[in-house]
Amino acid sequence: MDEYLNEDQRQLVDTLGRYLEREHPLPESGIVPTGSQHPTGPSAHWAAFANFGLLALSVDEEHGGILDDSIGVHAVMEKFGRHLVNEPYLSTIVQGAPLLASAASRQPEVDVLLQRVLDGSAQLAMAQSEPQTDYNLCNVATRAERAADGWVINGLKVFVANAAQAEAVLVVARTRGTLMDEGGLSLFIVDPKAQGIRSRKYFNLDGSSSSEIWFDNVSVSATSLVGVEHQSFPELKQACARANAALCAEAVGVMSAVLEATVEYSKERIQFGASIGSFQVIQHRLVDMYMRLEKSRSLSLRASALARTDNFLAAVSAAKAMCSETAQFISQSAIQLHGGIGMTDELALGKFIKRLLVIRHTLGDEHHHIKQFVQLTQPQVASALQPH
Amino acid sequence: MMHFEDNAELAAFREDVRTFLAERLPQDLRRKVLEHKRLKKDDFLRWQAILRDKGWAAPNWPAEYGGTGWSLAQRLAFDDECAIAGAPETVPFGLRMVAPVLMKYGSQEQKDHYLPRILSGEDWWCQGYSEPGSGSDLASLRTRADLRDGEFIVHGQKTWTTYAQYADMMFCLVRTDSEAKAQSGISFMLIDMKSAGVTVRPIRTIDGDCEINEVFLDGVRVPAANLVGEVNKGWTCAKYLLSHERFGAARVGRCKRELAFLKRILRERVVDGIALADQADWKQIIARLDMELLALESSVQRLVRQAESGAANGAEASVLKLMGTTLAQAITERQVEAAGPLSMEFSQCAFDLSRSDEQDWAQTLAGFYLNLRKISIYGGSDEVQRNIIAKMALGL
Repeated sequence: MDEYLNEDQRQLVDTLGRYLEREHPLPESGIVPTGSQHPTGPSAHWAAFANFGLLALSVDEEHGGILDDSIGVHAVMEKFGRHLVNEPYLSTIVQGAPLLASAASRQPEVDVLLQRVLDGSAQLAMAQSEPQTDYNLCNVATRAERAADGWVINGLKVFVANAAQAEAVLVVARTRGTLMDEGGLSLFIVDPKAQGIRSRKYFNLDGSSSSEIWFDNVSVSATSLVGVEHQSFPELKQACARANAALCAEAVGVMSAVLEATVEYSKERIQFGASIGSFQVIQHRLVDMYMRLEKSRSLSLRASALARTDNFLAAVSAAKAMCSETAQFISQSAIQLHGGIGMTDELALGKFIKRLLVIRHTLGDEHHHIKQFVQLTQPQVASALQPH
Repeated sequence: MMHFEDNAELAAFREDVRTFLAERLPQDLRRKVLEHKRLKKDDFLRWQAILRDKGWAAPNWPAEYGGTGWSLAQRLAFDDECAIAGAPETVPFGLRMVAPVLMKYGSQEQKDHYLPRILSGEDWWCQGYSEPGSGSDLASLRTRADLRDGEFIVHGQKTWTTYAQYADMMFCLVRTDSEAKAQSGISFMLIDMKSAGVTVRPIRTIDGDCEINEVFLDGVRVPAANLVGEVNKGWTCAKYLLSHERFGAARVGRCKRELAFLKRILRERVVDGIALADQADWKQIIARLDMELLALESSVQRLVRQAESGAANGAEASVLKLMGTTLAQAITERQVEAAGPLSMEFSQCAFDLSRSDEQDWAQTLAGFYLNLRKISIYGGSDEVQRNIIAKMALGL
C-alpha cells in the first residue's frame, strides 16, 4: 500500500517495521500457558509507539494529535497484523481517542484523560457488548441513572478487550428508552477499580486479554459523561466502523504473512522428487488465496480511504464481510498446503490463524456485515406491495 | 493518481461522456446491448463512425495517430460509461490489438496504410492465433509460412477466429522456422482475407450464434512487406499485444451493466406476492455480487496506482482478467436463475430486435449466459491466467 502513503506516513511505517523486526518477535507458542499473567499497564512497546507518533494518528492537532489519518492508521494496523502485535491500539487509539476528542473541547476532565492517552500513559478499554448484543451496538441493557452528584451504573459488559491494563473503561450505558433504542445511549468514563465493579479476566484464542465486567451500583461523577446525554450512538457507530476498517487492515497484514509463509513452504517442501510448489494443483490453490487476498486488500484500503464520506459504513461492511470470509479460506488453505506440519504449534502459522479468527468475531463477522450492507444499499422495492 | 472515488476532474469527464452517450448512442443499438440481442457488422460500424466523428474511436491510441490523449483513468472511465449505457464495444482486433503492435513494430508504410483504415472502420480485422492443435499452448502452432521469391506462402488452419466472416484483414502468427524451438520460429504477419486460398467456415456455438470461424489457409500468397517486425520475432509482438491495455481486462463496466440488469429482473419478478428483490436470499446474493463488484473496481484502481508508482509485478492483467471473468460469469448465472422458468423458451428470433414482446428480455438470457462461458476460455483461459499469476506474483 506504499503508493497510498505520503512521505511522513512512509517514514512512520518504516520506523515501526524496523522496530517490530528487532524488538517484537512472535511468541514461542500459540497456546496461552496456564497461569499466564494479564498485563497491568502499558508495555515497553507502547512507550516506543508513543515515541514514533503512532498514538497521535486518530485525532487532529487541535486535540493534541497530529492528524485524524485513517490511511496512516491503516498502514500501522497492517504492520501490526504482520507482526502479531497484541497491544490495545484498537480500543485506545482507533476507537477511544476520537470518542474523547469529540467532547474534549467542552469537557476539561475528558481532555485530561485524552492527553494521558496521547502521551502513552493511559490505555482505554471499550465496554460496548453485552451477552444479548451480538454485534448490534444499540442492543444495550446496562443502565446509568442520574444520582445526586453524578450517575449510578448497573449491568454486565462482555468481551471487553484489554480491560485488565486499561486506566479507564469507556462504558456504553442506557440513560433513556428500552433495549434497542438508538436514541438513549450515553458514554461514560469509568475507573475499572471503582467500587461495585467485579470482573472476570480471561484469554482469547490469540493470547489477547479480555474481561467480563459486572457493574453493581457503580457511582461515577457527573463529569464522567462523555459528550451529550442520550446522544452517543452515532459517534459509537462511527468509532466501531473505524475499528472495523482498522481490523480489516490488520487482517490483510496477517493474511499476507500467512500467504507468504505458505508460498515459501511450497518452494522448500520436496515430495515426489520436486518442490510441491511446482505442481499446478498447489499453484492454483495458492493463486486462489492470492486473488481473494487482493480483493480483501482493495476493499479494506477503500474502506479506510472513504472514512470521511457518506459511503464509509457500507464500505466498511463490504470490507469486513470479505476479509472475514477470506481469512477462513486462507487459513484453511494454508494448513492444508503445509500438511502435517501445519497442524502443529511449532509453526507461526497457528498464531496467525487464531488472530484471524478473533478479528472475524470482533465487531461483526460476515453474516452481520452482509446484513448491514443490505440495509445500507438495498431499498425496499415498492412493487412488492402491490397485489399481482 | 486514482482514488477510490472520482475527483472533480474525472467526475466532470464522466459527465461529458454520459452526455455524449445520451445524445449520440442510437436507441436500437442500446436496446440490443442491454437486452442481450446479437450485434451485426453494420451495428459495430455505425457506432464506430459516431465515435470517430467525435474523435473518440481510439482512446488507447496516442494523439498523433488520431487517439484521444486521455489518461489511463479517463480511458477506464470512458469504457465504464460506454458499457453501462449499453454502447456496443468497439471490435478490438483492429483498434485495440493490431494497431498498438503496428505502432510499436510496424514499418512506416504499414502504419501509414493501415492505421487510418482501422480508425475509419474501412478494414475489419480478425485475429489468427488459435489452431486446432494449439489453444492454451499457442506456441505449438503449425501454420507455416515459407519465403519464396519475395513473398510468403502460407499453409495451415486457424480456428475460433471471431468475426472472420466480416474481416478484410487478419493478423496472424505463423511458423517461419520449423527448426527453431517453439516461440523463436514464429512471425507476425498481416493477411488479406480476399487472397486466393483463404476459406472461412463458420462455427455454430452452443448459444446458437455464429461469432467464430475456422479459417483455412491453403497456399495463400502474402507479400513480404506484410511481415510485422523481424522474421522469427513474432512472439515479441504477440506478447506486446497481450500486455497492452492490461487494466481494461477487468471489464468493470460490463459487470455493472449486467448486475443492474439482474436487479431489474429481481424487481420485476414477483413470486408469492413479493418481488424477488425483497426476498431475503436474493438480498444476500445481490449484496455479495455488489461487494465483488466493489472489490473488482477498487482492485483496478489500486493496481493502476501501484503500476503508476512503479510497483507492478507483471501479473496485473491476469489478476484483473480472472477477477472480472469470474464475476461476469457469476452475474449471468444469476440472471438465468432469477428469470427462472421464463428463461426456458428459446427462439433464434429473440436475438433480433424485431420482436417487441414483453417477456422478450428473458428469452435471450440463457443464450447470453452460454455465450459468456467463452470469456474464461479466450485470451488465456482462467487456468492459464492462474499459471501466469503463480509465476509473476508468487514466484513459483
